[in-house]
Amino acid sequence: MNLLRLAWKNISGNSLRSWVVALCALVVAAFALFSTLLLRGAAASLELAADRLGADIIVVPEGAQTEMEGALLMGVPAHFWMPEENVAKLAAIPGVEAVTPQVYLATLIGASCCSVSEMFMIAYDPATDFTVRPWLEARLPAGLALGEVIGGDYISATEEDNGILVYGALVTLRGNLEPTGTGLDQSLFFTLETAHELARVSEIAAEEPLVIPPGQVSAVLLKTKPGLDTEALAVEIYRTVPGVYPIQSANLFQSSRTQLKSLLNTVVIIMALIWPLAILLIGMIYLMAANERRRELGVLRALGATRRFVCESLLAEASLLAFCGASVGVFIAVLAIYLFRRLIMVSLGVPFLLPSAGSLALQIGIGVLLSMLSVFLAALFPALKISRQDPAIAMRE
Amino acid sequence: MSKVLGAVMVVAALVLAIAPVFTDCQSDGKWLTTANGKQVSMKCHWTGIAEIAAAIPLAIGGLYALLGGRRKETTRLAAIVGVASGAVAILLPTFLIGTCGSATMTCNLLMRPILLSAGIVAIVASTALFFVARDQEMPVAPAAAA
Amino acid sequence: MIRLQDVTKVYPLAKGHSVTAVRGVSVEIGAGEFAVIVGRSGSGKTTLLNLAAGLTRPTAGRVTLDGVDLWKLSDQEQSYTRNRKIGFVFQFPSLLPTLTAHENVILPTIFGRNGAEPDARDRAAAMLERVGLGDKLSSYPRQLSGGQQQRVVIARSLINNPELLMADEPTSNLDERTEGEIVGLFRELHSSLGLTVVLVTHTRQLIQPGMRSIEMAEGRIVEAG
Repeated sequence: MNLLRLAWKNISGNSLRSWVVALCALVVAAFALFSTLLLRGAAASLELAADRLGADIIVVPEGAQTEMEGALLMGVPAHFWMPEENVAKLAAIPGVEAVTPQVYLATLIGASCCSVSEMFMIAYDPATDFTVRPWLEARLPAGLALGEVIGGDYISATEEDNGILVYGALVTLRGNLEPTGTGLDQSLFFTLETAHELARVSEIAAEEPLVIPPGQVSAVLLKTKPGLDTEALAVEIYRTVPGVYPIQSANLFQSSRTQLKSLLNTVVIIMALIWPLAILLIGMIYLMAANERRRELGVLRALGATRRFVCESLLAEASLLAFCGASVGVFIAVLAIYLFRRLIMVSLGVPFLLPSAGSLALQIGIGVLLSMLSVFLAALFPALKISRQDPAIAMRE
Repeated sequence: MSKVLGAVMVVAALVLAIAPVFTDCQSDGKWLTTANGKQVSMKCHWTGIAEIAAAIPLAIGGLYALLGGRRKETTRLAAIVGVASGAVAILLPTFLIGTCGSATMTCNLLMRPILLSAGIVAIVASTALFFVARDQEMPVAPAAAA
Repeated sequence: MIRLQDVTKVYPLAKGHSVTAVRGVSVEIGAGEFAVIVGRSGSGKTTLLNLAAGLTRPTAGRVTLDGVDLWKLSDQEQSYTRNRKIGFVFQFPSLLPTLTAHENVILPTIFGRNGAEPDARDRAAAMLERVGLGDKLSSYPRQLSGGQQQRVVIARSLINNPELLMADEPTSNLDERTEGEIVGLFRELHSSLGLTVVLVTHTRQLIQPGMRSIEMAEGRIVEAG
């Protein structure tokens, strides 16, 4: 028997008071961790997605910027086109090191000829591509053959032999890219040659044919020469090539970045409300305890407990309750984020990536400590007050 | 405490049984069209129906604890049934039957995480019930005479 | 052993009022005595006991235990004195409901800097055996009768081998037969352990030969045996 065991025994008396304190700790920890994971996960995801594309500037048809972001971030299929000649025009601009076109397609909705409904597909030019090339060089040096595809992290084969049914044709999934937390995770990547073959097969085998407008591409990705001012280049592109809009990588996902900022503000405001309220509530509860338990604490003093022991005993109780509540809170937060991450992404319109194990452990630790500190602070004044009571007066009726 | 855990188990069972009705793709108006034009339910719908099989034993176990089940052994049995039901509830949308392929479909956004959450809650509550189960005490004679 | 010199205790009440519970009382209780403080409700007997035990600071006067002024000690020293030298039995149920009988008896041994002493568990079990509750070690207070609970309290009060046992109306909530048993236990402990006992009661019938009686009324001692 010692102070900690005594504290634990007192708590497990199951009083409503203990539950409320633990619940406050739970809410503070859960909310703090949930918002941190969400905001940091979204920011990390945006960085990763921009990196994944590997482009310094992405050129899309004018007016298609928002649709482009929706496609890359949320995997919402994009349907926009611009003339193929733009590729050569862009390559000719001084300062441009490399260009590669991409064609954006989508599977049908609820059709039996497509295993996965409404999936975003990116057809690339293997001769000039730099988006999937790093991955291919590491895993499939020979590249993708006709009828072969690679998928984002979420894609899995739905047919036998790693097959996926697309517009009635069976393509082979050769591998998966690392997760980014964005719509790229739900996308298929294949060569332009495969795309045209799919279009050809779909005329017979699919409910609706896959249409690739001839002489058209969806976007052109640019790599600039090192050290170049991408802003100036973007202006030059806008001036030189009509009907296009250049998106700088740094400005990519601008609407999401703005969304994240306003989300951050909302979180800060909510936290600014929850935290003091929780501390106030816990403080009130411990002051109420002053009255309810004064006799019991008076007895402890009569038996020879010092003021310090009584104070430490109450703080130990508070800390134990906080630890239990916070532990459950972080468990709930991690579970909620993990299970409901796709819903969160779709509802809030921001991408999300789960952190690494180390980063998660650190954030969990901070969440629990923050919660415990809150409860400790809240209980400190009442604990000091109770411990200073005259034992005889405390034990009076 | 047993009553509280029993109530949690019953609520989890209700969630398992009812949530799929409102959150599978069929509720969102999405069907699978076969080659000959017929509309059939997608596998998330079948998962939802199968969840009822997990929900029923979970509810029975929860009700026993909630309504003041007196025997320790029976309460522990109810807890074991609860854990098994929770496990089945988790396995159905993940390995046994599964949900639809696309990540943004309603069954993946809503139904699957809700079922997994309810399954986890069922397992945690049932495990706790196992450890708090005890034979009901006889009431003690009043401590002080008048 | 205990000496109260011209001790007064005034309790402040709401709205500037106050009540004087003990007025200028001087009394000395020697080692080995069995003193019974009697008086009606509100006579100040409980307050006198609390003053003697150092549980409340006197408004005026001095309280010494074995020559040491209790209120010149630090909180730590005072608590140590209470812990080691005085055993206390209360009128109200004072066992911690979340601890077993055994754990309640061990409780006074954990207040030291080093936590519970290694032999505390054995001593506590022996104490409970001594008061006739050797088979109730793992019972919780709610599972014990009123008389049994008071026996546990008595065992707890003796765990640190005090010289002085103070009891504030220990039998007021018990039936007559149990009351007799408890007082009998006090007498037995007084004679076998050589304890100094100070017992507060409103029942004159508890006073027996060999006991010194001190009668209080309206905060003063009106008759001392």
